[in-house]
Amino acid sequence: MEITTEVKLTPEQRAKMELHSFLNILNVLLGELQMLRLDLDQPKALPESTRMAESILKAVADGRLDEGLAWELASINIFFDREIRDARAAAGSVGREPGIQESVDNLNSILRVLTLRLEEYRERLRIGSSWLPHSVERLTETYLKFLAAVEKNSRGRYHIIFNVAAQEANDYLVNLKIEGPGGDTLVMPPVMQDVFRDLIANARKYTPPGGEITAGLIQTNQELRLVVEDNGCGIPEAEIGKVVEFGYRAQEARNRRTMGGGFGLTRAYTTTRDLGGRMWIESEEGRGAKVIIHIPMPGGR
Amino acid sequence: MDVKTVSESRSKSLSTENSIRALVIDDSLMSRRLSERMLTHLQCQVFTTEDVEESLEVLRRESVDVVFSDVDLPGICGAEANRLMRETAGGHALSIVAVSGQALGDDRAEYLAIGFDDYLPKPVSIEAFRDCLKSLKARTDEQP
Repeated sequence: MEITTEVKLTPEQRAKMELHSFLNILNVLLGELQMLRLDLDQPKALPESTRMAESILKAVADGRLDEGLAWELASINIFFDREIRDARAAAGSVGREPGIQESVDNLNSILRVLTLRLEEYRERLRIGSSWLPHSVERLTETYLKFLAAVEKNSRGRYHIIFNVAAQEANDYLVNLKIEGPGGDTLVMPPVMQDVFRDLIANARKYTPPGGEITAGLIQTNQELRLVVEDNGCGIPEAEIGKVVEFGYRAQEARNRRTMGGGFGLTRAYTTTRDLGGRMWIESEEGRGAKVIIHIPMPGGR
Repeated sequence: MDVKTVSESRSKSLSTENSIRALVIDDSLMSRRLSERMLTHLQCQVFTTEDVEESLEVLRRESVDVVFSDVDLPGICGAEANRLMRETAGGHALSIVAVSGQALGDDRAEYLAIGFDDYLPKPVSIEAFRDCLKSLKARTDEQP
């Protein structure tokens, strides 16, 4: 079924959709700062780091992303280094050192991830919908690394494999293929890299271990095509046109089974439409879903 | 199927008869770990899982007192998750708390109306966990 739902996003909704992934990270950042104060036995420690984290969280929750935010993220790193040094000196032997080190390591990791994500986001904004060349090999490697991270996060609950002969009961079988007209490169807007990743992540999420996910990306002379298919729980027919609506999943999740991907499908659809493309969703509840995107090449290159 | 087992307390004072046994369901590893550390700090015995299916395995095996469940879990709605978890817990009293990122303006009353015992917006602080556990315990103590 081709999706033709009219989705009009306000600037704030669009920004929230783009920045939603930041929110969870920022929530964890504030929690880790609190744990660190506890381990230091200093309820008033890290005041500037905390204030800035709260300010950044509010900005992102409001859908604001500007130069000021980039500056605050850069500054929080500096303040945190200084404040943790001072707090450790004050704690001496009173603080719980293994816990302190764990929190410090977690916080540094979170700040690195946030900074990187913000840079990526700002770069996307700068590039806009420009079509740029991508190495097929590097793209494939990016997605393989992403899938490896998903497997690692499962802590042994499931594995992601690529050979059907090796598949066990709790393994996801993934078929991934990326092709360009010249063989080693293809041209596409960088944002589609995120869209493809989000669709693959959704397919994995809505498919139990033991299932199969097929993801293909190809650029021809006429168009860019993405297909992601799974044999997971599927989408009820009556909901197919609705799952791309902003916030649909959260509104319905309380009372009905819903297969929306949070913001993933909304973003895939609005991005596709912005680029002059078309999207289809084929699905049967209990049998899986298939998302198809076609985007015409600009100027028929 | 491997399932996350009980985490070890830093203070080594868990596993008492009076420890609250808490289950955290969240598909974000970072969030799970943080909630686990906070609840461990509050002297809870903590299990963590990524989704409802894995949680049901824990509930079959362990006597869990309270579930803190992210409401943005894929493939299952809040009401159905509630029903399945309570059925699986059988006769053991189980409190289920909705935990939400609030990106889309969740309504606490709506979650209570479909069977959750309480609601916590993210970011969840240790104080919020503590107050929630106290409130749930008070309600449980009041019941005949």
